[in-house]
Amino acid sequence: MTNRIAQLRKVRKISQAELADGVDVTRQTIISLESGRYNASLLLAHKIAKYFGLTIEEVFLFEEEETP
Amino acid sequence: MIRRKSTLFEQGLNCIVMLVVGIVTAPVFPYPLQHRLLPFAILGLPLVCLADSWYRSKENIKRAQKDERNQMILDKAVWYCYQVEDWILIGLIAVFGVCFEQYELSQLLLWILVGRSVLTFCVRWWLSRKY
Repeated sequence: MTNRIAQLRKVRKISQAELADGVDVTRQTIISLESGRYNASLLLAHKIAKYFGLTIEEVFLFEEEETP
Repeated sequence: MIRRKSTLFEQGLNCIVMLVVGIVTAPVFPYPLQHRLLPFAILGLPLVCLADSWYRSKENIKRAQKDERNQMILDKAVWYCYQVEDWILIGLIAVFGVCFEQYELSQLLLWILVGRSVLTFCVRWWLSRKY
């Protein structure tokens, strides 16, 4: 699952620390989300989307897994 | 009451203090020196925790404790270490039982392994009922 968090942050001129404060997680979590190394839970995804005033689908891009 | 989850930093501090206590109580140190050094080593943990709470705000510590990524990492680390401990115990049971023929020690380790497995199973069963 990819996301547009970094892009949205830059457009709105929000730092990683400010976003972390806004959704009540650590800055390391925001860093991991942006680099794609960690997938947010539904609750965190909802908080982040709400923080940006967007829907979850507008922030997080779900990729269908290929079935064997 | 289940103890709250510690942060990576707190766990690191605990490890350092335990290492220091282990080194200070090692037989290489003479007993009078151990007797003098041990209180300082044991006092080290609360002092370092105080320094940590002074350096980081309470809010940041609470956030680090409940952060979902930190919790995921803790759960995975505990599971990996649990499996490693299983293999270490099995290895020690075999070594003490077969190589050194210390059957009592081997039996004790076996029952530790059995007790851990049964306790883990019971806790998992209880949690699966709870959730």
